[in-house]
Amino acid sequence: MVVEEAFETPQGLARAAFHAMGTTISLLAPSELLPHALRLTRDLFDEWERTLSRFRPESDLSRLNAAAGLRVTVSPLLLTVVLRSLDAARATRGLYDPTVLLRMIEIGYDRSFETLRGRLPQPTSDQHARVGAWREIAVDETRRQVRLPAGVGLDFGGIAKGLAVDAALDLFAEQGITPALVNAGGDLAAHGLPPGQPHWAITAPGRRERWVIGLEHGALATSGLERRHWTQGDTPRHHLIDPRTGDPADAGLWSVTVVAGACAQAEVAAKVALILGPERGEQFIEAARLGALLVATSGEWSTAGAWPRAGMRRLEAPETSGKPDTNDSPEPGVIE
Amino acid sequence: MQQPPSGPYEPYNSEPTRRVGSAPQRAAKPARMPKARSLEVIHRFKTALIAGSVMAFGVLTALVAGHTTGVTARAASSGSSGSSATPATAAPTSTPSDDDSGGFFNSAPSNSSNGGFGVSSSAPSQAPVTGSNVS
Repeated sequence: MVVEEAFETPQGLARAAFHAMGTTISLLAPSELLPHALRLTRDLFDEWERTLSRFRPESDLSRLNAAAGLRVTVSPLLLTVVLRSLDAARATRGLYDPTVLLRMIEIGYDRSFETLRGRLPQPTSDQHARVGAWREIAVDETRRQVRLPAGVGLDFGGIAKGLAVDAALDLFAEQGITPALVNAGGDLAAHGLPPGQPHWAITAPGRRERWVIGLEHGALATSGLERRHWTQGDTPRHHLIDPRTGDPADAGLWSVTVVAGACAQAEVAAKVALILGPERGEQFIEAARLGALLVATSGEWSTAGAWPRAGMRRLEAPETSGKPDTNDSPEPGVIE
Repeated sequence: MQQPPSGPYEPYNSEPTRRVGSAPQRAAKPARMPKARSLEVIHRFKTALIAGSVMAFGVLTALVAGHTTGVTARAASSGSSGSSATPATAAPTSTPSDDDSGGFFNSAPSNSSNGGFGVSSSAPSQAPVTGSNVS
């Protein structure tokens, strides 16, 4: 459940929220600039969802997926996201893989998660769709053309949301909207500081508790098993596919929260660390010069890299633990 | 009156051999190339001609192909932004590899004043303003 709990709004700032990209988008900005910031953010997220949603048959992404095997001229936005997702795949040696769409559909995630309810039927075949085909994607940047290998589809996962958050903050910076914070369902980034405060106080989830840390600038994102999970036949499923096996990741981690310079970086790193598990996940975070809070399925936790271990304050247990995501987000454009 | 040839090797009506005296002799005809040698030279010439033609054809073909690609690329880059799907043939494309030349985790966002990220080493005393949830 997306919880817009009783967070404190810093003095001089105001908060707004709306629903987009399957989650709640909230923002904090100076009170007098909030309506303008909200309009900019809604327009941006609307465009990104129209272009990149795999659940909209008319989206640019759906058209590209439907024409796998052919060269397709795509919009500048889709080209940008394709290129960044390939950068991420390359940087993670394919542990972030944008070509898991067909495998995701095989395990039951074939519709918007808000409508994915109940026990899904057992799959009729044990065969796995291809994953790891990102290396065969051909891109012609000059002509804005992309060719997916035949039988392969794209699902960007959280990187698109992260990139949208980064793009919103870029827009704010261009238009002088500062300080500001944008949070897309838990993937967030900030620039500037709240008036009179040394940092943005932000919660990060554990399994039995929550933590508060101070973010001065940059981004936070969390990947985990808490929300998007379901049962297919007798098999528990979740949405984080390990490309090495083609099955949902099962490396002993419950969630990973990463702090990085950009939201897309944090989102990708959190997913990869969760796939790798505690030890190798920590090594990956350190090698990428990021910081992470890694929470095991047992509830034990550890930190890696530049995560501010000494700067954590413990809060009570989260109310949402174990509950699936639902569609009870605030009304579009609600301003507090 | 001229005498008929008297020897077996002296042709009839040929001038008598001048054995002495200073009158100029007629220039000797160049030796004719043997037929086999002529055929060999002609054969070599034909071979060289064919090889040259093939090479010239190759060079011209490459020039024509390059010209066509350039014209098409310019037309495409200045064309409309409409979408289309076309057969996957001979497109000048790139495919990704495992080399992290793009530096996904090294690129600083443009909205960050000094790149990277900053976190407080001391725990916040104020109430949280928002949260990073499992997405």
